[in-house]
Amino acid sequence: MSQYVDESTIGYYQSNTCKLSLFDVQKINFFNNNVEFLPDKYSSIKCSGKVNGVDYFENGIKVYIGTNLLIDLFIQSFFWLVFIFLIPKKNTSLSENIKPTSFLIMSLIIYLHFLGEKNYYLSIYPEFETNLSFTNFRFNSIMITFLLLLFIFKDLVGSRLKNFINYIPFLFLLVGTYNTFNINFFYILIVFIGVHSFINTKKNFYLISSYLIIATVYFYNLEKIYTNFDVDKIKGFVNSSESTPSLIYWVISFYFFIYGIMYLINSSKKSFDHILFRKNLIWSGSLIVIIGILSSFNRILNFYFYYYLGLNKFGMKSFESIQGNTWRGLSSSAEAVGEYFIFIIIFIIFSLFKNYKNLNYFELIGLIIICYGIFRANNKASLISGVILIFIFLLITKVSNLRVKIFGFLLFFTGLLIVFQQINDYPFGYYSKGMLYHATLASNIESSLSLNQWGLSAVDDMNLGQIIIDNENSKSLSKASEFMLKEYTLRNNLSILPGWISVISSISVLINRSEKWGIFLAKYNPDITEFLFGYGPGQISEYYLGHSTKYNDGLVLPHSSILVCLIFFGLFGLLIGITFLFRIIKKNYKNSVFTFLLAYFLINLLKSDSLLYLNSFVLFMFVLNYYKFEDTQNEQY
Amino acid sequence: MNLNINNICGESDGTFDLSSIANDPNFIFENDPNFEALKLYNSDGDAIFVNSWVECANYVSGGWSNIISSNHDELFFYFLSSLLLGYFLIKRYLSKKEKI
Repeated sequence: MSQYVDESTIGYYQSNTCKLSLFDVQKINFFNNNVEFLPDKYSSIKCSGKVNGVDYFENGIKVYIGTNLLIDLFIQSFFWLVFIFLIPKKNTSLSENIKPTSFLIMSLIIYLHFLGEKNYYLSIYPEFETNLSFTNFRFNSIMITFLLLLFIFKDLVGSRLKNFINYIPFLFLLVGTYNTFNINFFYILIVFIGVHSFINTKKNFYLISSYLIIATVYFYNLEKIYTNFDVDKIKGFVNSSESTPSLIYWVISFYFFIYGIMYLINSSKKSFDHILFRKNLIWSGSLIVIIGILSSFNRILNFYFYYYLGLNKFGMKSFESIQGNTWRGLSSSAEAVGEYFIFIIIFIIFSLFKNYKNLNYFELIGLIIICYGIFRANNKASLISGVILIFIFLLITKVSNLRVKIFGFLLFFTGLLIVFQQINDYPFGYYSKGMLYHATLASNIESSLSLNQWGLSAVDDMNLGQIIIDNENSKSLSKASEFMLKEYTLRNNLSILPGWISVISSISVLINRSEKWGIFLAKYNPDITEFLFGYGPGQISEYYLGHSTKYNDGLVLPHSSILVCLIFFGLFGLLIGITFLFRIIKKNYKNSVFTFLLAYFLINLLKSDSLLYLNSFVLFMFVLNYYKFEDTQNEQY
Repeated sequence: MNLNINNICGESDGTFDLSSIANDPNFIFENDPNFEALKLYNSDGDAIFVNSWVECANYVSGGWSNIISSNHDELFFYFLSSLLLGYFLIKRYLSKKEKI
């Protein structure tokens, strides 16, 4: 018999563990917001879904609900498969049959994941084993269930594959990260599609061999530490370990993941439905806001939404904004969700100006809800970039008079400068070295710093030259910080133009990224091959834990997808990516909707970690290939 | 068994007669604020929290452990998933045969 959970009944629950189900408890405690429901990941199958523990903390009572990795795999996978089943079929089906080889390759890929990231699972299940002996029932069950999942997916995918592209927006609602695995459901499915397409399409041997050559450098760079990196809100899309099998897993699976996305996009060129996509954007966006609000008001719903939507992190448990006046709601990142909401608005505005069908009343209501989401996410940079791009888009596409165009541009940018001048409260000198100041502040350098006559260290004084001298003996600064400090201090003094570091630092201050990019510099400690080629896709732990700073606990991300790419693929990979982007833009810049959508993404990627989230990454790939759909739309509408 | 107790509950400061506790059905364990609460499991997968070294040692000597040994449930799960996979494989084989 369940009771109302408060201080007086904690003892009752503690002595009746594994007896009361969440269903029983919620009947009495549905509106009990003094209680926080959390998963007890290390639970037996028998105790799954039951109260496994209750603890009293200063800020409230925590009730632990048993979750088991086998049950999670089964329930979460099949729940999400139902949603795939709900995607309407298209008349077309897969031109090629999915061969047994695809299942074999997928089994190997999944096995590599568990082998490589064993420490992640050992931290949850101390007796977790990856051997394939008959008596290792747990691991065998996991492998078999994944195969089963792929078999069912194969049956569902055939006639729906070409419609998937229209339902991408729902990836922001149904995130698909398993509660107990460092795996994302949709990642595995897209990798599976990638494997299938790889087997059935003509192979580009130049691309494969280049990737393999670069991959050998990743292995050369690998530290081979079987660490357990806390993946936190980027669960399912980054490596938790630094082991050879895990690197093989990420190198192979990422290749197939890209292959899978490209296959999905290329095979959906003719089936992409602009109106349906727009409708799905509005639905997903407004549902994210509504469910986020419900989740913040009710602790039981908060648990259910976390579990069944496969959230990387629990939704907000309060309706109050947190640091920076942001409210992330259901999403694990206020920044990423804010970007998404504004993307929806931009897409709708562009689509309306392209004379697609007008919005109906439901969609208008959805739009209002999304606007509320934008207000709460408080992503000012995205909002400003969105407004600027919409304004430029309208000036370019709708105004034919050149004088009016020029006047519009001048008026707009003068307005921006005035606004900037009003909100700017930093001293001028701070702009050029704000980022470096934060880099030194985040470094473990204090012990090596000498103090001046007022007891201030070179960091307090922002005396970067003195920091370089003090660092010579201790070598506490990361290679990136040291390089940047020397470059700024020793090479910039003769030039009449601002140095490139001053420019980057000024931009970072302007967009409120000086602290985050400074922390990145403090952490980033690559040798020359790591800098040139990176650590490999999904490999963030060496960057994060390889060099000791004041930010080794908690997940402080670089807050720039360009920096994330630098970590993963190095300067070489970044330059290839930029060249590739320029080629696409050069070929398709006349497609105004494509250019502006991509511009919006690129501006925001500069200052956000969005590419570390699967849904944002897929959306970015969609935008990058949007020009492929546009032609079809013009024919259609 | 002592080694098991030390592994799970840690080293003890004093000596305790665990058999006397086991023989006393009315024995009440006192919480030790210096002892970090531990979760122990029996062979059925039931869980309890122990709040002192003596309580922990008592349960461990009675066969409880900090590791779940739920082989039965997992064996059931293993057969269930194998059965479902087998069903799909046979279905696929039969539909292929039908096409031929």
